[in-house]
Amino acid sequence: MNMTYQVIALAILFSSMITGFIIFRMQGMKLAPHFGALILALIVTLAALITGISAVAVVAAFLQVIVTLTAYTQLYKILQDNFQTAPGYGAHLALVTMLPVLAIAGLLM
Amino acid sequence: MVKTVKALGIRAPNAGILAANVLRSLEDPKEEVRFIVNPGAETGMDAVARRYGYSMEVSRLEKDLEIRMVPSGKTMEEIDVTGETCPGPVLIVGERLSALAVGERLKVKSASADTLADITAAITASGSRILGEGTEGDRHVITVEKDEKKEMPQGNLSVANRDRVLIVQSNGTGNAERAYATFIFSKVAVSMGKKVTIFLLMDGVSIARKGSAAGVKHPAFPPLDQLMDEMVKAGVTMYACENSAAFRGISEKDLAFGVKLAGAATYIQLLSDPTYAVVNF
Amino acid sequence: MTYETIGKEFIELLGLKGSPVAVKLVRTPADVPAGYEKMVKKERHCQFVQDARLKGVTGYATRAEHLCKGGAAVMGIEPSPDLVADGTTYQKLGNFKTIEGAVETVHAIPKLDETYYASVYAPLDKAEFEPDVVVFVVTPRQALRLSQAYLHTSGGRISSDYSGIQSLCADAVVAVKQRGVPNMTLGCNGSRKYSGIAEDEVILGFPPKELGAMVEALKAFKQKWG
Repeated sequence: MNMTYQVIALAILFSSMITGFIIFRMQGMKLAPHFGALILALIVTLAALITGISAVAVVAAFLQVIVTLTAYTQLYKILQDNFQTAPGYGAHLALVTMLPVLAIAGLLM
Repeated sequence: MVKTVKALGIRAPNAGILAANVLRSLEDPKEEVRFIVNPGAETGMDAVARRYGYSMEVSRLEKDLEIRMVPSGKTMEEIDVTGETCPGPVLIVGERLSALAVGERLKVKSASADTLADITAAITASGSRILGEGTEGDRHVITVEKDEKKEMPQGNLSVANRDRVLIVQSNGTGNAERAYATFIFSKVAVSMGKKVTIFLLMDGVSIARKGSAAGVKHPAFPPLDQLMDEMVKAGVTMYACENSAAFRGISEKDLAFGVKLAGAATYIQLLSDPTYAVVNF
Repeated sequence: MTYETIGKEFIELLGLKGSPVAVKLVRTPADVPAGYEKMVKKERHCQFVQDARLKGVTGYATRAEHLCKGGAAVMGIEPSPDLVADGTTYQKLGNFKTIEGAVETVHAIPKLDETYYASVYAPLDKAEFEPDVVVFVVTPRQALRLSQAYLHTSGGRISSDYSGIQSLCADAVVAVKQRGVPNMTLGCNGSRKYSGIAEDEVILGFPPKELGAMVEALKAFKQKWG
């Protein structure tokens, strides 16, 4: 399993903590599954890199995809109707949307 | 309840005789009575007050005297709003005040002088009076007397006595703080007796989509849809810009309870009405 | 006791000329008692009272039917005419030597602060509404008996105040409505000239809730004094 993709995923998850916090405030500080998934994915990805255990890496990849899915399910309604404010969510969405590709690449290559 | 009896031109001892008869004939023994008399006529009224079980307070009302007969044992209502966060204090005081009759009094206490300053602004805007201020221990205190807003004489629009508030909201569910501001300000304005209209445009129409407001939550307030519902039930008019709604695929049937579609002409008409104070979020 | 009974008893026990008059002020058209029509002719409040008293007329009068603006104004049916409010009218009419005197009087006149839609009138025995005030136009002797009847239950004294203007409107109706206690007044130039209040007549206004007890008192007086 090529850990490079997981390293990139880690960098993204780390950066997403900040962008995530920013959109957390925009949404009225509502704690939601997405933020939980994000923190969990970060921890597991870090664990995968430290331990080198592939099973952990697989769980990490799975969680990374969950992060992306929950981001969209949580933000769908907002993105649907808030054209002007949507750019405020742009940074975070851009980051998390990268995760599935990296997760799959990490698994296949 | 406070009954007002104008007894100008009646000298003592007749003013006292009249006062005695009025107090004796009251339907409600807990009723306060205020007599408006000429200075000098109050002689003998204190005996009347004692006789019928009232305490008497005399105060000046321009060139007349106000003699207030309060049934003994009745105390003025007091509320302490320390610790409540804005707009809590204004809303609490507004609610208690609306339950009082004209002339009845209320004492408001708070550890924060700024909170009382805010409450004072709300109270005077709705026509009631601040009778006095002071401190009691670590609390700042104001005494409020309920009164009704006086009608402005007809044809006097040049005087900026704006009783209506137009809240223009171009931000929506994607910006919780701004979205909440729409209804928090509405709530305060309504409690101050203003007539409120909300105009949602651009992202603001996202608030109007059925079900969307339910997903927005600010830590200090109830979910956005509850606040919106409360305001609609309190008589606030809500419009959503037709164009912005259409652009976002929101049609009439997608609108939440209490929201109507409106065009640019409605918007301009509201903006141009001098009786509206306009706020943009 | 119904007002029909009370009204008839007063007429009989006192030998009244005409009837006591039930007067009520209503705030909206919906509050006008069912079946009551607008007065046909534009007249003064004191004339409406006399019509009800002597001719049994029932009806209501809005701003349009009130001929005397002073009367309508103290009853809240019309805003006070400026010339009355600033003393000019009454000073011109000759009542007061100075304009200050006129203003002092006008300032002290019993006046309702709220606005009302109309005044409703009926002879007491025909009144199908709860009156604000019952107005009696009587001789001094009859006024004596009424006063005695009022004091019969709890004793004390009656204080009456008047100023020689706006008698049937301000003194007999507004003052009594506001205070809940009776008032006696001696009429005014307007009411004596235009509505035929006679040389030997005075006016009293009573709050309705004492009337039952007063009738009983009058019966007791008749027994005792004849």
